Amino acid sequence: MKMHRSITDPAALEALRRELMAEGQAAGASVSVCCGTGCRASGALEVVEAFKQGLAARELPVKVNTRMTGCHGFCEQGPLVVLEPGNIFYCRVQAADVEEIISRTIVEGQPVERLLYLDSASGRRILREENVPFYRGQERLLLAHNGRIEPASLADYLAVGGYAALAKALTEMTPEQVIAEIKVSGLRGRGGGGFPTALKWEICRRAEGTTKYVVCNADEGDPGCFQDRSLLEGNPHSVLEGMLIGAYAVGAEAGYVYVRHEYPLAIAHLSGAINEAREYGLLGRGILGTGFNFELKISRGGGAFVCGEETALISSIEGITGEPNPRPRPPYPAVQGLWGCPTVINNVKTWATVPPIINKGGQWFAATGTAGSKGTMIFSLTGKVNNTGLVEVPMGITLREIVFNLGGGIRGGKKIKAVQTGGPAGGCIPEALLDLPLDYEQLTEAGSMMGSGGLIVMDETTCMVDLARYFLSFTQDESCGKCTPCREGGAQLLHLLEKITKGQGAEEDLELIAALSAAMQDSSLCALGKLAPNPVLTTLRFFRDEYLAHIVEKRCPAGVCRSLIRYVIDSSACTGCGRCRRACPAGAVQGTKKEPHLIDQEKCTRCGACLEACRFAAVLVN
Amino acid sequence: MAGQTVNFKLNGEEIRAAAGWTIWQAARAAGVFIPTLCHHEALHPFGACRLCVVEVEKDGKKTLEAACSYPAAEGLSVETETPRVQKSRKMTAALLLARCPSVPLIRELAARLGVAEDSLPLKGRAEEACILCGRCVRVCREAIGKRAVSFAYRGPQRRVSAPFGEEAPDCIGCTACVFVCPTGAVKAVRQDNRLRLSPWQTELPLLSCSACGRSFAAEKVLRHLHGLQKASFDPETLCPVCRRKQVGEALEKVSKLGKAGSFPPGKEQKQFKH
Ligand SMILES: Cc1cc2nc3c(=O)[nH]c(=O)nc-3n(C[C@H](O)[C@H](O)[C@H](O)COP(=O)(O)O)c2cc1C
Ligand code: SF4
Ligand code: FES
Repeated sequence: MKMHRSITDPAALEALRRELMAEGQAAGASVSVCCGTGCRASGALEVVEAFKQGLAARELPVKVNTRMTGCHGFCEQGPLVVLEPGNIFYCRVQAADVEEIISRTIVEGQPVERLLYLDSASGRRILREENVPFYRGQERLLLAHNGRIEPASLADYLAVGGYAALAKALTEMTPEQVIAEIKVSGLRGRGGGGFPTALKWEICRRAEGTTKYVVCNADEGDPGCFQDRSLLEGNPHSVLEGMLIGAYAVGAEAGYVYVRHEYPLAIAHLSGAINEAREYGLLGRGILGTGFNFELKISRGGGAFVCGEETALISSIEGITGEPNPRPRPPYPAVQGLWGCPTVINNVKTWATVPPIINKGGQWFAATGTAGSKGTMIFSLTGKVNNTGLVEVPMGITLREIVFNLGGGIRGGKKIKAVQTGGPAGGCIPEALLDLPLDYEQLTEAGSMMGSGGLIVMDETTCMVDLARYFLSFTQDESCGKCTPCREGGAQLLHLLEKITKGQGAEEDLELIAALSAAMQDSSLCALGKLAPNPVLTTLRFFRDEYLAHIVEKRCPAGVCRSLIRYVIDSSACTGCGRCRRACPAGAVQGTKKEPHLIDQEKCTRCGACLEACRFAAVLVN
Repeated sequence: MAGQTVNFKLNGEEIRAAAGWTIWQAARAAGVFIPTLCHHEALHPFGACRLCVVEVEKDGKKTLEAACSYPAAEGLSVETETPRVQKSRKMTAALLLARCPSVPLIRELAARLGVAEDSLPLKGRAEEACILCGRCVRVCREAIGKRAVSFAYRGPQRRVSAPFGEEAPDCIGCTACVFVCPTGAVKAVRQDNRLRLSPWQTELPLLSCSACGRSFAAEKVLRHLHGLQKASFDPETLCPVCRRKQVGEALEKVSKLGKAGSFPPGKEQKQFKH
């Protein structure tokens, strides 16, 4: 529908909402095509076009709406299509499948079997989205509407109850009451540190100064993480509403969303939402007929990981220096932030959690979770699990439940070894600790952290020393280089790990690794350097044997570190097919056809091409 | 805020500091020495070298903090020489020594803190003299109001340089960067009426004194200074020595005292500490 009036007060908001909901109910059916970045990459837009044309070409008894929604989280199965009524879930849909979906499902009411999700555990096809194991274990509070609404559509957001929390906060609550409600909810920051959100707001509210700011941190730099992007892409109004409520609570009249420029779709949807909100009077002066004014701008980040750190983010928005510049704290941004003014910086997820808390109450939110960690958390589940994607789960759930129930277990039936939580500066949780309830304190105690919600699953083929080296090389690349411990200490640490993976390590190196890590943790200027040793320290703590195998026995148990492995051909299994000989880029495989082949260890560069090429499992790693 | 004070514990003793002071400022006033490298009194705190760390106890939690930038606050308890502090400082010195193996200042510091010569495996180039304290970058921005030099690249590749590694168009040749550099990494060479600044690849013409003929300052500096005083620029200008002489002679003529030396001394110039 085309809306045509400015929303001048809460009553007008509710009237419009009723109208939109009635209209939604009148529409008989809908096709929701996920148009998040992931599904777009696998052809979602073509699917949408095919649905539009196919539906237009037919006389159907009921009106069917085609909706381009935000990310459903299960990108690896994309493009995803959900049909209502019936909650029928199709995956890996291509434009060519659309005719069949329309004629079989929409017209005849029968499922298209081959497009239904195949549950590898039971071997059965699953009809409804809510019964797919990946979704069944989830508790979708923030992502609830991602698959239902058109992202930048204010009408869609209103139809699912949007901006009711804002109306309630502005007209029924004082700023102090808003903060009190957030305090009751126990909400803690979802961007890394887990700082109590209400406390941050309170500090900012009490800070001296008449100009204050709220900022949304959407820098999301953890490799493989995309929960913030998905929220901004799929439901930007929820973030906007959260920021409006926060601004009212702390007394800010302006705000920024800091998004990395690699997120063009998120930026497009967010600016669409901002424009529409402004057009309807939900941004600007005298919002909903009250005395509350608020304006929001988008600030594009260059994509440096360290710019997600709040003080570096501030200097980046201020645009004073081209280089990332973390600043000493205190003063904390809540007291002295943007242009020296009190500034609340919260993560995308934190902001999006605010409206449901105001709507349903802090008590309701606090009913989910553990003593210290309330509500739900969105994780990016990646690595060696069967199902990868975004999962929103209640705090307190165990890693084992996530990996084996939602994630469907380890790919290829291999054994799980560890889970890296908290991104590249988080830590590695070994298999033995997988029953740990997910909670800020528990993760920190295990040497890791909640971080922004990265979960990387590793199986027995992962070398923990190499993993630590990999994460450290990431944080070293992304370090701004300002302070000595992170810049110089990180470089020394990385050098030592490289030495060990090359089989040149000595036992004393482990002491030096511990000392360098301690110095980085203790004295780095910002949290990047303080946290960067986490992967090293946790792997050293839980997988010391593996370090020693590299150092003492010059052996990589997982068969990963190139300098420490040899590829050999098992002559009893080799059929002499020649695939490996042709695959080897170094010309190291020798042999005549139909005779067992041999690998020349002098020429071998240990690239593993032969292992991948072999169909008879005749290439072994020693 | 003016006139307000805060009280906190420094090495076990209650001390008083002006509101707005850093721990380092308060410690200095109390006669407690805390070593620094990147800090410079004429510049804003930067907190980069981490040599000045002290152990701060706040709300029952003890953390290492940079004294040069951490605000003194009511109720803190600060220790400047605990084993944790010493260990951290020693590692910082070791890291800087590994980076800049031949800089005398760093060698002395490392020796004083008991750092062995080859305590870390990765060695910097023998000619590396920059510890990335950023004083040059900051003095250019904060004191001179120019942006002739800045940091480039991230992480271990970070360095200070003129934009794009080329001659800095913004450089006026004031040589403040040379003055504040603690390690001698930034150098000025005056030769053939030209000023050469390294590592910036900047070369500027020097102006000659219209009396003695010696070249003494970059023309751009004088233009900048005249600009600040809203005076027009006169290329017929005297070097500081000749000017003093000229002023002295003029005063001698009008003065009954007859001797310029008896004049009260001018306001003492603030000494920059290295
Ligand atoms: C190196 C580094 C990167 C960070 N990146 C992000 C980020 O991408 N997004 C984010 O919300 N917080 C990030 N943080 C945490 C922020 O500094 C800050 O704590 C957070 O945005 C506060 O919001 P919250 O209280 O809602 O978590 C990062 C911190 C560090 C040290
Ligand atoms: S800890 Fe690393 S990223 Fe943070 S200021 Fe220091 S060098 Fe920069
Ligand atoms: S003097 Fe404080 S960090 Fe360098």
